Amino acid sequence: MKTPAAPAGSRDLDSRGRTFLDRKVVEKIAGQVASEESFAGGSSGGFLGIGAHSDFSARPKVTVELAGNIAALSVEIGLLYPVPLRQVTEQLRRRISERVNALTGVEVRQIDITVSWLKPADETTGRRRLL
Amino acid sequence: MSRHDGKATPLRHRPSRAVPALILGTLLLAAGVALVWAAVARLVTGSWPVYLAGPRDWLTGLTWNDPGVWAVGAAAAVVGVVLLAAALVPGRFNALRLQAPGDGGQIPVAGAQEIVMTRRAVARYAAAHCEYVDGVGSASATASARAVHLNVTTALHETGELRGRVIAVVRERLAGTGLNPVPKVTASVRSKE
Amino acid sequence: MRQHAGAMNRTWLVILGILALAGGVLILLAASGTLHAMSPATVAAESPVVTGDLHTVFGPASVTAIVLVAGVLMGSLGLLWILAQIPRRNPADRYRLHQDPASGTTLCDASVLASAVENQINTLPGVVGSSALLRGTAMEPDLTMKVTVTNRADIQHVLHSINTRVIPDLSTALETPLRRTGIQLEVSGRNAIAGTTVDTTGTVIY
Repeated sequence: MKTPAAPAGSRDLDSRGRTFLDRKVVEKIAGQVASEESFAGGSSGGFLGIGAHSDFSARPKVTVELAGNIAALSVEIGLLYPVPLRQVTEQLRRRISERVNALTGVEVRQIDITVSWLKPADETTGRRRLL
Repeated sequence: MSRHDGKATPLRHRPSRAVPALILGTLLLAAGVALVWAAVARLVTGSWPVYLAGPRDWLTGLTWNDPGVWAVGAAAAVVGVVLLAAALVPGRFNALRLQAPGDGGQIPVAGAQEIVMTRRAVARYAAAHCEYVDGVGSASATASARAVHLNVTTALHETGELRGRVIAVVRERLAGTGLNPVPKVTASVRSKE
Repeated sequence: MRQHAGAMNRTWLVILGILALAGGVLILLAASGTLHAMSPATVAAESPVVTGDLHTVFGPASVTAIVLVAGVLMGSLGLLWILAQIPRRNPADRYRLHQDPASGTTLCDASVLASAVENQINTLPGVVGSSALLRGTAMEPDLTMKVTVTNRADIQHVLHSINTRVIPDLSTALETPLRRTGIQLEVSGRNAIAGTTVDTTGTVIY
């Protein structure tokens, strides 16, 4: 699905050509914004969802539905444990909405967040080694 | 009948009487199937199935003081008493209650807290600690809601002193886990030749 | 951890027990003639059990329908009762953590939170395994844990760690105090392994 980018400047833009923004662009930007938060991560590796492991440095999976200039996002995200989930997801929602709007001009109306994993910061937790 | 309310139930509970419930459920199901079978046979063939003829003949020739009626009545009364007993005899708890550490200092965020240790866990714990006592060859334990019984085998000939030691150690360990009340510990020591 | 149909079983056993007992006593009274002696309107001990002709009673089609319905009813009650014996975990499915669904929903599977709790419990010394279960709602969560410890574990220490670290962390994540917590301790049948398990953070050799 293609959508015209935010109109900027004067009315005779048609003469200079049009910019189309792919849905994937918004998805990648939103994923990148989310992964820049220290408490959020995604899944990396694996094939067809099998063998993927949670990773704080990976980009969360974002799918975007564009309707004209308005976007509805759904984000599948992993979070640091323990963080206050309501506060943190609210913060994330604000941040994604701001950044996507600033970078692409698309207005983000709705962000559905699904928390898919929770993990403490240190990687060793949950997996112990025998000395 | 199903429980999808998502509420927590106590971890320490009495037996759920699953066996009598399963038996009665199966009987109900069988009776239901037999009735449906009979009704369907009647609808399809126009007459009641042959297997009903036997009971029918028996019933029509029956008077109230027949020994058969006596037997049926007695059986029903006995079954009733058994079912009532199954429902009303409380049964033993599956687990023992534990005291949270820092007695009384409740964790504000934990809400109402219930800590239990299953009877099997208490028995295993007691047996394991029993085996650390010097002189004990092998140990096994059974636990009820209020008491723990140890079965100890030893190579020693003089078992009386070991018995006292084993009981003291296990009682102290069980008290250390926070079991409240601390179960009574008994032991039988067998000298192996 | 798992829930059983204890209360329902007791209720139905009492009901059926009373019915069977009352029926049995009634039959015995009739058979011995005591019933007739008490009230002459009832049957005498010498009279036949079945007075009418069974063929005329079971003749009409409506009786077939009644038998069919009664059979279906009895059979399904029996089946439901049998099925209710299966122990259930009854977990919460997903917690809804959003304030305003118009700006987007926030969903977290209760199992995701439960596995975070399990991971945390598994790192405690003396613990060999655990399973956690969340019930209730996001505003009033119920946490139930089954913790399996080694047979030499310091149980009070494990409980203390759970109460001071695991439960407060979950409470932080959900931003609400838990309504109920339950801990069921199990002791592993195996002997405690000889080594100690530690979190390795790398070895520095000088």
